[in-house]
Amino acid sequence: MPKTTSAEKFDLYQRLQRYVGWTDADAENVKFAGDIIRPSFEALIDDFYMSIQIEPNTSRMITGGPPQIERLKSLLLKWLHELFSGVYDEEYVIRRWQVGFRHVQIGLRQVFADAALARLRAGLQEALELGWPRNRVYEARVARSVNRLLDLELAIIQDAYTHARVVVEKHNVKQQSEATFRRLVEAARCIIMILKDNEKIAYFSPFAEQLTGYAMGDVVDRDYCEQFISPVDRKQVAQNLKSIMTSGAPTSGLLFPILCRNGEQRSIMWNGQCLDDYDGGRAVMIVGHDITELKQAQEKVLQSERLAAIGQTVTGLAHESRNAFQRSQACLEMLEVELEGRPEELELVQRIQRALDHLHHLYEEVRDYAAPRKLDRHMCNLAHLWREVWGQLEVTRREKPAELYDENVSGEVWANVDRFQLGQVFRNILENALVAAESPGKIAISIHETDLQEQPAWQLVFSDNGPGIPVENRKRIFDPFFTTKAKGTGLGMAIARRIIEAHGGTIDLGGCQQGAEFIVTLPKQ
Amino acid sequence: MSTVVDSFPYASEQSMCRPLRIAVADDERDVRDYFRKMLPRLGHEVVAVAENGRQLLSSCRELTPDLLFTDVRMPELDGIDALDLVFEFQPLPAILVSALNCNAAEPRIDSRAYSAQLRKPFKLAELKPAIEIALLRFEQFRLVHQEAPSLPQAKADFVLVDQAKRKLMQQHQWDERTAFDQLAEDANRTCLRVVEIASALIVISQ
Repeated sequence: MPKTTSAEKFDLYQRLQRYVGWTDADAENVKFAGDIIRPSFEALIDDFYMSIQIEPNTSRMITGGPPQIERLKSLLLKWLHELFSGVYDEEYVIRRWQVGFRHVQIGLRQVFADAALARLRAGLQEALELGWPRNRVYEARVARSVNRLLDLELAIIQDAYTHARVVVEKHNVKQQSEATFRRLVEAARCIIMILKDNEKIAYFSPFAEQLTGYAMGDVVDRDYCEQFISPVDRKQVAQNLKSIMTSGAPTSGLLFPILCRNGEQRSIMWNGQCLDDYDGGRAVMIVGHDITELKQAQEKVLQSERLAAIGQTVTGLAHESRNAFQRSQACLEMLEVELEGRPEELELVQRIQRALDHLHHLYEEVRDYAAPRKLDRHMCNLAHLWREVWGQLEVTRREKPAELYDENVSGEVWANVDRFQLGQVFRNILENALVAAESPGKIAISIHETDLQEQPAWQLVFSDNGPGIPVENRKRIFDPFFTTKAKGTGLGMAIARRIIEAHGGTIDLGGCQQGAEFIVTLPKQ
Repeated sequence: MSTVVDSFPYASEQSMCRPLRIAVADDERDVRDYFRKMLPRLGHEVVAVAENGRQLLSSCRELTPDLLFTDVRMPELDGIDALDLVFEFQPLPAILVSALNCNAAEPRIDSRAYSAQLRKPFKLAELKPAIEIALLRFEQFRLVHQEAPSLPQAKADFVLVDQAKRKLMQQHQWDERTAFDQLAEDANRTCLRVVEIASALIVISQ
């Protein structure tokens, strides 16, 4: 049932008046009857409330004791006076309708409302008969007019009941669906936020709390963008919110990272929807799915697919390329013999040799990076290994004198590793450190015990006295083909990462303030 | 068809090896020319230059060289099969030359540890050490062969000896010679065969 306006209610009343044949004469009759009955109003009211108190269905409505009854009595008196006032305009109808509606609200069953009116009707008729002037013949038409008026009253009450039932049902349904909705929201493994039209947070779901590390109390009434969106995305996000708010159209599939309390960024796929009425205003509900892991997994799959493709290609090339390298090498060395005693030509041969070596090195490094990693594990003393590698870097250190600081390391740092491959990791890290270090170079290695996925592990920290790694390069340092050197494949650290990961370990950049810091975590077994 | 070539009858200054009569086999002309030209500079004589395993085999039958260099992948008969056939009538020091990335790609190489290996691309400076290793391993193989009832058994024994050798090298940072000499010494002292000492060592270290 649609909401009805006052005008509609009055219109309905007038239709009903016409239907029951209500005329101005009826109004006159009622007025006349009113004069006769009015002295009996108090007795009628007393009788009315007495009957209410007898019946449990009605007496339970009275919870306020005698004072409430007194108040109700005065209201009924007013109601009776109005009934016989002879004025049945729109305001009258609305007031009567509201009285009816009030009975619904307090929970009075309709049959008892009807019965109460019937008792009142009987009382009014009796009062009319008993109070009829002795100097005048009783006129049944007056009683009929009163009845007609009461029938209209009954109709109003019934209309109020019907209307109320719909409202109550709606309310119940709404409450039920709200409860369901809330349960859903609270159980959902996604971020749910409700933003008011000023983009302040009004609701923050439990999962959002869990993911971001903020409690609802921390963020309610805070600006959503300022709190959660990184400055580069804010403009775009604000625009999206505005468009949802103004157009009312839902938006889905927006990808924006969210800033968590611990400074971490999570990749979130957002959907947004406009809420027309949230606490009396327009609002936007945004639902975010955390796809960080998914994205990482996808990237990993993509990366390993790329690697496999490179690996296949390079392996396919391996045999023939090495043969070609060998032929070049063979011819070049033969040429060198032919050119003995001709220094200028021999210089050219040397240059070709260097270029050939470089090409071969590049080729082998790409192959090394892309080849599947097989480990030949043995127990190995890590400190011995890095000292051995450091010794091998003597040639590099001739160009730039450098010291290795690892005195605090106790001798017994054993791990089950592929000695050769791990040596390569140490070499790549130490070579980079040597290149970056300020002369004289100071390179430090420390090691201590830690846990990695609940397994005993070693954590090695390599640091140097160079300028450190610029922020813009930090993310890419382990990417293949990323290099800042003029000559370099950019595979050194990528290979290092592959080897460490093949060992079940991790390699990361540390956050030290001075120089570069690499942190390698390696399971002992 | 094998080719017998003239060689320079002098040893170069760098070479500490005695002059050797060497047979080479490679299906690439550039590599054959290279050996022909460069080995004499190291003081050796190239007595045969073959394009495939079959040619190498017949040269070896005919000329019994002191050492051979053979490419692994060659048409008709590959280097490893040729080496096996050569061993049937005359075991001799050999260097297996391959363009393989690792021995996993050609498992037959590991079981022929009595020969040396050279990976392509190699440089002149690598030839001498390769020859020395080939001579050393062959010498070691001969000792094991003497203790074995048959050639196939000797080959199988040498696989174990090689494993034991590697273990000792890794464990003590020894060179190949020291590792083998230790095995041989232990064998001598205990009146056991080298292969028996080797297999005992492998069992213990497992």
